[in-house]
Amino acid sequence: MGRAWAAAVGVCLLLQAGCNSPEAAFHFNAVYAHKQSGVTKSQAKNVKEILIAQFGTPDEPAIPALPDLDVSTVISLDRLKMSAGPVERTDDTAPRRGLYREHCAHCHGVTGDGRGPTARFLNPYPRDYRRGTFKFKSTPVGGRPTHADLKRILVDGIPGTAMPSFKLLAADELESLIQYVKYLAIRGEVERSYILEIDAELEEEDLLLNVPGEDAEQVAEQVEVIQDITSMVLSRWANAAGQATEVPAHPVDDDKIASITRGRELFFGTTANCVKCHGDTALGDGQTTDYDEWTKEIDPTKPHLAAEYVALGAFSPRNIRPRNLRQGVYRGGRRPVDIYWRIKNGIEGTPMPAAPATLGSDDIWHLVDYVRSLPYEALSQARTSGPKFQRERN
Amino acid sequence: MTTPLTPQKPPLRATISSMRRASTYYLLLAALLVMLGGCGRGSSVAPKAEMDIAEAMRAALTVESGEDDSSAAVEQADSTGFATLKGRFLLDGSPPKMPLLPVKGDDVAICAPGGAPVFSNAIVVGKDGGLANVLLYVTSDIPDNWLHEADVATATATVDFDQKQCIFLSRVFAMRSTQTLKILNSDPIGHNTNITPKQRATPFNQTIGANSFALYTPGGEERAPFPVSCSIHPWMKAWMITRGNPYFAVTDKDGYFEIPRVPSGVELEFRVWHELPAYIESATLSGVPVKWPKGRMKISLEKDATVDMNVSLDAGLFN
Repeated sequence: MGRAWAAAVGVCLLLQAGCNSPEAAFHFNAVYAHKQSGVTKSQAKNVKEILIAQFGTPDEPAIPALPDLDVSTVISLDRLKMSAGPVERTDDTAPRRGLYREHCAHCHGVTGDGRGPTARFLNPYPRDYRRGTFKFKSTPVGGRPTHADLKRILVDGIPGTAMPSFKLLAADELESLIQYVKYLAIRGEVERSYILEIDAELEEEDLLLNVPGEDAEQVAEQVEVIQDITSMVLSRWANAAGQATEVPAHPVDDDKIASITRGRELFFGTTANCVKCHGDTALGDGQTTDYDEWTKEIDPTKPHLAAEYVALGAFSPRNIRPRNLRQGVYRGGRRPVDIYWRIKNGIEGTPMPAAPATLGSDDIWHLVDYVRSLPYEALSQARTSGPKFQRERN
Repeated sequence: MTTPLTPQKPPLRATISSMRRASTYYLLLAALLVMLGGCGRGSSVAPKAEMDIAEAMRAALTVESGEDDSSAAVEQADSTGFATLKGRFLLDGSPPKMPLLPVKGDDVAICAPGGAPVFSNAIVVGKDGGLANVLLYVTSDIPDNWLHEADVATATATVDFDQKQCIFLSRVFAMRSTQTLKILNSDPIGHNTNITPKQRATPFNQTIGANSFALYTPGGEERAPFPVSCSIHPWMKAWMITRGNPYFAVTDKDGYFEIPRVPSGVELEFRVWHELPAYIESATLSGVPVKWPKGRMKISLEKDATVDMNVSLDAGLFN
């Protein structure tokens, strides 16, 4: 009897030893491939291999070589090394490694797909970087975040979410993590573009890159397509720095009450339309049935289709809620300039639109003033006159 | 004394002991299964990447691309002039029932006047089964010098895209990526237009005040249509495509389309698309069944010809 148990335990231990830590690998974006429908298994394998050729593996990152763009101006391989790989802190004198897996991967996942082990228990879900879409930034919709934008999120965290502040990390560690997030985003965007390319152009038996293969001419053409896509993605990141929206100074007059009153008019008016989603009381209870762009990709309004994506690893869809403006919690930062950017540019990836072009910077500042006054404004006006329920004293 | 040769029950203790042994084996088996189950963490969707292939690819991708661009020097047939492609799309069979749209909120009086139910216009069938909102567009590379001067003149024109009663008036809309889109709002309430291209065109999401407009410059070409929506009224939906050439059309309410000034004497590749099946892969062209893999239709027009296409699509494609 005892022997059988010992054997059982022994076998289990042996098996355990064999599967304890599989080598970290980037996951294929099966959800997006399913969305585009026309990607076969061998094409998916081909995409994985091309991505390894260009971007390396989680343990050994690489940056793609491009003829027309110096990639090191966007991401530096030397900087990435501190964040990549398994966590290593054996020797204080040796260079640090594995920062991403130490601080980020449990929520954002090794691939940066927002599907780390803890992700499904969080609300909102952690960001999936692979669209290249980031919400809290100084650039308009379509622009990538600037280096400073990403740094601000890392340093301050995102109030009201599970994203904490990493203010205690050393400057070079922060720098490395910012670069690593860009690296994962770029890799993910390139992967999505390859999937689109396959879906739009290739027949089932064709591959994106026939290497090893004999047809040099075909390979040359394929390499050109691949480099063209990669450089399209990278140039967006390279251009981000110059795209930050300028913030003109707040109107000079000091009458804050007048500015708040004007902001209130705009909030409820049919030009800015804030009230439509944030609600009459600004509690975020207006239009609450929409979804963010990440979720829209999995057809949330058609449960039978959404279930297919969920089976492939996507999380169950949730509606996106307009912000409750009376809490005084601002995810993208509470400085006036942060709220100015949110109103002026909108929040990319969400239903929050940019302000109409007809609203000038003064009007946007009035809205900022009103929004910032909301947590301190009484929800209803206290009665100043009327019956007094006082007990009459004899 | 002899014992009769009858089957004997084993003693109770032995039975329990063998049951225990069996349960140990079951436990062991269960443990094995659990362990093995825990091992299969990798994604089974795509076969594992092979590192030696990736290495070979890295070498191929690192080679400096030659200075003299050989692909530009490829001999290409030149267009001989212009032709017109026109025709009609018909739906063969009855269209699927369109779902009722969830029109709710403060703006019901504008969006559903009189409380009338609003149905999706994903499929619109007109006179005699004519199918609206089929999109055709040329995906071949078109050199600039093939363009007719009338098309050169409109390359940077402004085109209108309107919405009224919380419906985008164009369900499917095509424009040139160099043109400017004037997004009108003909309602007395605010809208916002959320344009979400997939690759090269710029995304856009701006509030448009009541009876006002916004301007959008796509700045890039897209290969497939992408959704347009309104966040204030999430049931509003349209599709858009931005193209680098002027050769596209969307069928009108009775299924008719016309693309004028198409380069002639060269084979052109069109894509045929409708939002429900996406690429239309099978059709009946003038009575003959045809296959268009991924919506690809290849056609070569003669100079000054007007080619009339009569296309019939099986209603089963739209379910």
